[in-house]
Amino acid sequence: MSRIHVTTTVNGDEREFLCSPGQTLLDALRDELDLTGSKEGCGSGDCGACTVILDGEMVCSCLVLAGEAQGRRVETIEGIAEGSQLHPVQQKFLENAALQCGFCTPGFIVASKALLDKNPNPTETEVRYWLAGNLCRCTGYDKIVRAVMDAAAELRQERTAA
Amino acid sequence: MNAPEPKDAFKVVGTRPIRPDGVDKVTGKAIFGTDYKAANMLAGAIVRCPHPHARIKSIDTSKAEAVAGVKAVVTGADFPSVEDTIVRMGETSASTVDMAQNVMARDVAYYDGHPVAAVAAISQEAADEAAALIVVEYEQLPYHIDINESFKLDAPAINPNLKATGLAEGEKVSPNVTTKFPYAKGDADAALAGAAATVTAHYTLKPVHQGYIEPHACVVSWKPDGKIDIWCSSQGAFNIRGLTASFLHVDIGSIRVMPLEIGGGFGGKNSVYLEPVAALLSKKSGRPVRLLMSRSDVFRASGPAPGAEIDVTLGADAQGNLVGAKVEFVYSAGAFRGTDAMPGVMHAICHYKVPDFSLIGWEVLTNMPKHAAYRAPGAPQVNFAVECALNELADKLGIDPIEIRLKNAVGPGDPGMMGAPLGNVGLIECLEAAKAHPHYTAPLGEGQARAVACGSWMNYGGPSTASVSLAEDGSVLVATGSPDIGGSRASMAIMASETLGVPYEQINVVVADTSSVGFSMVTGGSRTTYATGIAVIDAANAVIDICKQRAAKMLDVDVSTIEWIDGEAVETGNGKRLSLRQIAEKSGATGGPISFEKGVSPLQHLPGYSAQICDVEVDRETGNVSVVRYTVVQDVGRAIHPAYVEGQMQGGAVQGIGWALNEAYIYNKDGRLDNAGFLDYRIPVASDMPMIDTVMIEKANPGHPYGVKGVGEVPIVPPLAAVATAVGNAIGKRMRDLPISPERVYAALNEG
Amino acid sequence: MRVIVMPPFDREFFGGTDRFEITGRTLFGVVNRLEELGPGFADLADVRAAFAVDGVVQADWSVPLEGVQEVVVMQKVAGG
Repeated sequence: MSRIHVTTTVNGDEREFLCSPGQTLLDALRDELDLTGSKEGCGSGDCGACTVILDGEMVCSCLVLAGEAQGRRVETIEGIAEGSQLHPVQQKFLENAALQCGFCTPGFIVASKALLDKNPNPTETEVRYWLAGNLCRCTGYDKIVRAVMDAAAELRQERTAA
Repeated sequence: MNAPEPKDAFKVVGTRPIRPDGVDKVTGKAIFGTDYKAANMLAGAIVRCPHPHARIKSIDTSKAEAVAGVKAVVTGADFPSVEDTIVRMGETSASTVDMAQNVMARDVAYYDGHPVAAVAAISQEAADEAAALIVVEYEQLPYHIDINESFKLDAPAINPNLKATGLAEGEKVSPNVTTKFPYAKGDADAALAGAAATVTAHYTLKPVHQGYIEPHACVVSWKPDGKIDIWCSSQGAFNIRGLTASFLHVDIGSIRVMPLEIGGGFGGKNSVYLEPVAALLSKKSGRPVRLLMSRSDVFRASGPAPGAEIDVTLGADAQGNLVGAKVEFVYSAGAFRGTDAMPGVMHAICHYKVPDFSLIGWEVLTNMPKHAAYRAPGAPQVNFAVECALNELADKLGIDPIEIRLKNAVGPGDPGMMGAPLGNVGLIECLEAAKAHPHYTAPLGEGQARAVACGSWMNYGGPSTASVSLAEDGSVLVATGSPDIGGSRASMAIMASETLGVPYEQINVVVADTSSVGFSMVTGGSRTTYATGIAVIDAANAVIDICKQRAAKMLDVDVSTIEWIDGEAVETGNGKRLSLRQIAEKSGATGGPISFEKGVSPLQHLPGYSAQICDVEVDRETGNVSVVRYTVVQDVGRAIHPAYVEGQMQGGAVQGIGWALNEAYIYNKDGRLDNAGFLDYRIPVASDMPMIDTVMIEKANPGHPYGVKGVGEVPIVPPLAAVATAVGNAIGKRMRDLPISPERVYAALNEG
Repeated sequence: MRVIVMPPFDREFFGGTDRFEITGRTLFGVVNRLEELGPGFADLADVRAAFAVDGVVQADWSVPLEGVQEVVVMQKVAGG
């Protein structure tokens, strides 16, 4: 089977991998690059556990072919913290107990960061609709929504301070 | 209204620290079942039966074996014979005949999705290609998806070898009945005949799935010396070990299960599905083998909760005191015998004082995946029917729905279902808190309506083991055998911290593998913080005793002069102190390393109760229902980490709301599951839900050192009736069939 | 002492009889006697049955039953 050579930027680093034509970006991240933080909950774009940011846009990496990542920029859960400094969204998820099993958490955090990059002051309704593509079966969403609102407030404060 | 007992005594219990595994989970570092890889691992694939019921006439694996890179193929013929032995999984038991056949069909496949063969190959592509080349010749057999069809006296038998339990001598029933569970007290008919008002109604529910986001996955390595290593996520590594050993006819000690992080379970990961299959593939190939379920596999082949047909009659006097109840239900079991009929009976009316009752629980086979436990298994279905009927009865009598519940609610000392008096239970406090909550009297908007419901779950205790040890520098290490499914490492660390007097941050908690800590029952039954918590507290107290003895040696005094204060040994009288670090550092000179492992099997758990208030808004043009406000009141015993207790209350309620409004297994005319994915099996999403308000009633359990009662399960019990009654109140029609889909609401709004 | 056997054990092992007068020093003794009355019960008792001794569920079968009036044999439910 002929394999495709892909060069792409993942979390700021240039990475290369070989993939089959039908392989998803999610599988390439997990199997070729050992970035297992992005999860497969459904493989059909319904659960959002595989959410990554591709050239600034939030996508389900299970619906993107690995070959499509050629020459583009991919941000995954592994790149959200800066070194050992957690992103405010991550910190607020911890402080709000916004996770129980934690399996959906990477997808929620990437999606929430993507929201706050675009909209620093979302309403509760905007948060809920933005995250409607991410399924969580444990929390009932209450604490997740609060965590995102808290993170938004903190980021606004940081921006004002800066 | 919270915390009737003084909580001031606690330093750490009741605080909300960050969970020990939190950073791993927000950074993508946590290794879940689907993430683990072993060196030189093969990829596996399972062939599943596409028919609801079929005899396997032949399986031709030759083409699959010829695919380049294929290393092993197994079918039912490769498994040891099934034996009717009991596997002791600590308080739960399982007949291995059913479960072994569920893992891999032998002569007959019983449902769409039932495994019939499996392959392992050097890549997933090769494994999938080979699986598609396995040729199975089937003879299709009559099948039942519908409970009523299966329950008919003359229904074709799904399993001719089935023997029903609980039948009266000579009682004629459908050959698909697995269980009849009758339980009665007094004369229900006579009591109902004398009632001032009665309500009789029929209720139906479809099977629903637990819906955990992480699909089942495992890696198994069967080594040439006969030792088997298993890496998987489950609610109980010891369960996986015991069941796999029994299916494969190997010693329990030859299997070591490494628990990986678990991505949700809700009862559905108490079962074993993939591990024995991967083990045989590994034995044949000599390499570690990984098996993963797809989302469609999860829906088609892992356990939904029973669907149900339920008849209820409730009767009360003019003041609203219940005088009699008759409840008869039929639950589906899937392709093999289930366990939900008995808890269904026991939870039907257990939260009320009913003098005369007749309860009958039936369970029948259906050609669906073997049903599995789902959060308070067996309770939500029957509670839905009883609570809806009670709301109807309250309306008939003109009594407020919380008032009628307060009149009938059980309290401490009242006889429980089995006759034994109830302990320090808090249903009455829940109802009073609900009545006093601003939600209950808040004005409603256009198209909105409100309802309440309450319910109970008995909770559990049972066997757990924990060890507490000190590192050379006095760091505290806690190991348990309980998978952490929702923050239990945090509650264990809090309880260890409270007991030892050591700051929370200095407690390190792990979930140990099955060879590194003693037996522990599954993380389920709302038992972990209660039972495993007692093991941790007992082990910590034992470590304190050891430290006091060591300190006495170091100070050359009698141990009776040593007290344990704030994490230090203190010599009474002169106030000399030795820290954990000082004691641990010198432990080599005082008798060796300091550690203690404690196994416990407590049964002084108490039932949990919850009362819930639901506001809905109905769109009369489309029939769509929105839950606009929701409050969960629950007796939680003592909240060790209140944020995670609230999380259980909120998550359970939202699962119940999904059950009420959206979720159902839908089979097509050929007996195949038609909605085996999250697009068509729609669990609640963030935009469907409001904030879920919580009120924790802390009525401490005297059977736990810190007052813990189980909290995980009961919140899923009341929402079904709360939502259904609220919708009914909004549209002026009783909604007795779940799910309350927009088309059902639309039809109810537009029928004659 | 009075031993009450709850469903499903009454029909499963004891032909529908649910009340017995049994003497036993401990629950081990009670279970042994029940095994004579309903063969097969003892093997399953530890995994499937819970014993309420004068209204309190007793996990330790070795506790002396002196002065006890009633033992109720119930099915365990562990939950999800």
